[in-house]
Amino acid sequence: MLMDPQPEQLVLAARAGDRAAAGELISRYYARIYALLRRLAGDDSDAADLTQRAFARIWQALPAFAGRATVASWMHSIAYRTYVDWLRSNHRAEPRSDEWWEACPAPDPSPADRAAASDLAATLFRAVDALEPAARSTVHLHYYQGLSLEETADALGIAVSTVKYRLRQALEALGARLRDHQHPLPRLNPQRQP
Amino acid sequence: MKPTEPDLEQILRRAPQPRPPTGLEEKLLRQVELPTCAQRAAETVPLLPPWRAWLNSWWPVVATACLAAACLVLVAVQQTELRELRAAVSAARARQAAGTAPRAAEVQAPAGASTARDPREDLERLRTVAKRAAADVRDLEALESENAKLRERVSAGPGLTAAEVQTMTDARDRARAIACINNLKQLGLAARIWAVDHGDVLPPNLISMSNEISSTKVLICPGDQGRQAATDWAAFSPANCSYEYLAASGSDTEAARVAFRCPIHGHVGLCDGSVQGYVGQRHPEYLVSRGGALLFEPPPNPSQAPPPGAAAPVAPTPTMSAEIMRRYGLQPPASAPAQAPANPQP
Repeated sequence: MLMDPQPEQLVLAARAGDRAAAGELISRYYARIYALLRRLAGDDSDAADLTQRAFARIWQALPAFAGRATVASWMHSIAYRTYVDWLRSNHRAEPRSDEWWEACPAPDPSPADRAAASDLAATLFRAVDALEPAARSTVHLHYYQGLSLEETADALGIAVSTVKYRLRQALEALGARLRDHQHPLPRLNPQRQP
Repeated sequence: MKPTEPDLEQILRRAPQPRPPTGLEEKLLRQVELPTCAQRAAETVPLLPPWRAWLNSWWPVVATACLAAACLVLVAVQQTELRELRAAVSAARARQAAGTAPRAAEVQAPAGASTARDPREDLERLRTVAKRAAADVRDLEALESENAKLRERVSAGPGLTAAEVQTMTDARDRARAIACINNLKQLGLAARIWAVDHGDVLPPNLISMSNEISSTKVLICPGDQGRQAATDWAAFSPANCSYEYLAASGSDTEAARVAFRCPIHGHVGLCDGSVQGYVGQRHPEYLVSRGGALLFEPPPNPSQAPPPGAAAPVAPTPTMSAEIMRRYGLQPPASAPAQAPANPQP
């Protein structure tokens, strides 16, 4: 195997049966996939279970990967669909915030991280979790997961212009909620029934 | 302080990452189930080259950019041509203003010819042209005088004998009669085509079968000098038809029924599409009116025909009211001068 292979080369090798390449893919992406599912599902055990399901689907879908999207957006797409299927199969309500950001401080605090640790950041993250599902998943993939606009569009199966529109709407909604962050949003029940 | 959108974006991008639980990576590594050889053979999709993946995402932009570039090139070419044309126009104006406008002969001169000619050459060339023009004028005058002589001869008399004139007249009349038969043939064919599409029923009037008639000219008998063909069907009126239509809404199975009749030549077109020539003039007794229809009934055997000297039975004249004749285009409108197609003079 190459010293620092490209993700597409890893996918090709894994498709050919190379378990080491599959392990490298896991090492590179499982933390990001887990983080996405953790934020969406709102529970550690559910997130771990969903991560395992997502990777099982990824191995099944390996032969169908054609390279139209990047490996990262392809994996995020599968993980997001795994989450949506899990929601539908269990007839669950949209899980709400459980202040996941309080339990996972950033490893190297920077000024921005310190700001995120402040009340403003907490209010912002809570407002993100209170967004409607489509806007919330877009914010999660683009901002939290660091995907580009095109990768976010590929992961969600929508157009780039739709991603931009959703992000614009989400930022306006978040700005409106944060106008008076002296009055923080009420804590939402994570298992609230619709 | 109110946070701006870039602030919000920065905070969101710096959001802390939830850490996966310990042991998850090992669990995932244990659960790796790569596709089997059979699955790979059946389902593997070839990986697209990077440029192809890029093109899949960006082809609308690339196509638009190519189109815009082509438009820019086109505009640039047009601007260049416009600039050259403007320069040429301004140069021509300048020459005109300076009184040195190029003469027509110079303009028509082949490329490469010297624009600065010797005045003597010009003078010689003009003299040659003048001589040629004078010769042309002489020829023209000779032609005019000869033409005048011919006109005098024509006006004084054709120089033909009476027999020759009669022969020519007869030939012309025969040609007109044949053309009239041809018109009736076309009208009969058009009526039968219309009837095929309408349950073997003939059209109620001529306008109805306008789609089947090739031209309004076939409605004018060549011997009818008082009528003119309509320019189109929208302008068609009874004054634009020489023929009588006698089988309105009749059945095309009545083979002996007269559908069209030329009042000038006496030809009749029957419902079966055939045309009988000169019946109205030579054998009017063959036309029998029965049950409101005019039938063509010649004697079954020529020997049974009445001798030429015998008094021919009086053929009943088909009676049609003026209303019906107007309806079928057999009479000109009241405003037009009456053309009297019943007693034509061929």
